[in-house]
Amino acid sequence: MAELALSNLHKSFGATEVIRGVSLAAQSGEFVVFVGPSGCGKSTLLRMIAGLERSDSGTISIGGRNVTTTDPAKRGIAMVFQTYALYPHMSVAENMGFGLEMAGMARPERQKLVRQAAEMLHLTDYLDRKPRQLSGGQRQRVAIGRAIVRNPDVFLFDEPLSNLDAELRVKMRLEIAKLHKDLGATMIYVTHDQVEAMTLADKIVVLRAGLVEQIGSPMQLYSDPDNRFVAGFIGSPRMNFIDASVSGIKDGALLVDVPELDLSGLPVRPRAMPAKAPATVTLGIRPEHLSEGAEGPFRITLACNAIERLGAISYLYTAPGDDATIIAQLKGASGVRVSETVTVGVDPEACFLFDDAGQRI
Amino acid sequence: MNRSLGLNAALVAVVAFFVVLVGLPFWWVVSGSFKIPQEIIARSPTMIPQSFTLQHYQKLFEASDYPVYLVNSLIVAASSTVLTLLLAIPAAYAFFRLVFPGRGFLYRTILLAYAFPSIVVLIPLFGLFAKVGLVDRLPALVIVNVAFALPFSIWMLRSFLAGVPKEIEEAAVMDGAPTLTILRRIMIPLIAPGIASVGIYAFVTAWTEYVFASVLILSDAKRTLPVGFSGIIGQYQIDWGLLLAGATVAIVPVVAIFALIGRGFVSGLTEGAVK
Repeated sequence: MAELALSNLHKSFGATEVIRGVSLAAQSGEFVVFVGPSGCGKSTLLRMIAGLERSDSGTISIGGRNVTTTDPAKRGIAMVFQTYALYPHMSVAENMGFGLEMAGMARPERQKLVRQAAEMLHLTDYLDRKPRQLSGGQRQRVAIGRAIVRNPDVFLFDEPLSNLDAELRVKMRLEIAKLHKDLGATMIYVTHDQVEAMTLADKIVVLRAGLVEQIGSPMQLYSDPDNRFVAGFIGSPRMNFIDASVSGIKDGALLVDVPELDLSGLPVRPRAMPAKAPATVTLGIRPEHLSEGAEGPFRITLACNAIERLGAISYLYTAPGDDATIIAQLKGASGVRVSETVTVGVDPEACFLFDDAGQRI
Repeated sequence: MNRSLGLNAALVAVVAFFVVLVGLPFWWVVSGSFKIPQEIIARSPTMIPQSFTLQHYQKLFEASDYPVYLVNSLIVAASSTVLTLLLAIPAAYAFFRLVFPGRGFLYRTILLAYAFPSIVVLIPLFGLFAKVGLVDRLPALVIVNVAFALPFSIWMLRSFLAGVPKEIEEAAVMDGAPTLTILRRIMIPLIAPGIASVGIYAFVTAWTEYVFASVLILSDAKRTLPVGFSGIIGQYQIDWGLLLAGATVAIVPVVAIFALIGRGFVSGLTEGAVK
């Protein structure tokens, strides 16, 4: 268990700069999730922490020790790969014990640690099997076991669940959360799945194009995003963004007109009142904050052009397939049908404003 | 998968055609070696032997130098194979893994070895070997065989190495394995099918090599099978029985090596490693 600190890390592949000055800190025992769209550099960043990629500049320290140029095996870390990366010709026990053998540990001690990890992961019955004789979930557990036996300061997970089917993914997600609780180790977890990020993380790091967009707890990012990118990335379905204009200021709120929705004078409280109110803004509101049948002064009418019924809830789309579609979360029992309209209430307290550069106002 | 009866029949017919095409000469040689001379040269050939004799084999092993050639060939082919593998595996791994200036250029250059017909390099090579005293010695043949088998072997093993998922190697790095340990404990077991193929290739080319063996070896006691055996034929006109018996025995090591290391040709060895 140890804290991890990254300071101003840079990394280029040829002319492409993939990590452009990343600094962050993970407290000892914290579960930190790197999340972002593909190509944002999150896996590269993890591989730099692992030592599989060399950083061009900046420092990485683990437990107060500068490990920027240290060999991967000597950094006190263990990594679980997206593809498991088990040694196919070795048994489960040999796979898990290989790192210990390389560290020069004697066989009886090695076997003891492997057995302990196997018990923890319910793999005891499979210790003599080869990876090809295991199911996907079991292989993933072996990969985790291989990391556990080394008793690392920091665990690194590179999209460990993306090769599993949906049901198994939920199960393994809970197992990883339990593992974190049991081991109390620092864990860094990379995913592009914002649900995994929300459910597992103590702290989420949202990355885009090699830069940190925002760092915070899951609920912080959800309820107080710094910019349009984070607002759109966290939350499912994504937040609705609608062009709007500012018509005035009243009681510490900007009065917003949204011609597209036939809405005017919506009082949205900015994070900090700007010195000069911008003329045009983007209004952000989450699908779950457009509520059918809500009373109140601000109500809009949406045309239903597609509806997805999930049982407990339904999603209405005004322009399915179009980026400009507005999505509203309705009750499962909502009777609205395609080509009908529905009136939903807009809660100004749940709205966000972004300037033309995408920054939160 | 469901295939229609007609398609199945067609597939069987194609397979049968190739089995006969490949198998018939073998059968002719092997069965002929047990026939009495009169039957071998009979006007109407017999596919199923009407007679049985071991006289050709007896003559082959007792009255000719065949056993000497056989042993020489075994020594040359086995040494060539082992040496080729010992050199090709680390070379292929180096070309695959190590980053050094001129890697791509060197990698393409080694295949240039095949641009020259062996007959072109024969004379200079003879001169070279004469200078260092290697003419009429079996190591000369081993060196030549290895030199000609290496480029293809390296090229082939490198592509097998490239087929091993990168993450497996990275996992070994994370586990603290040094490069040579990764090669020995992780990569070599995973490319066993490639090593088996290269081993068979190296053995068969060395076993059948004729041109260099006929020029670099001068004394009869050091001849290898292809050269020595061709001498046997010429010496006593054409003794068909002896020829067929010698050919049959010459096949045995190749068949044996296929049976032995052919087991290494198991595909799907990396199954379960990733995904």
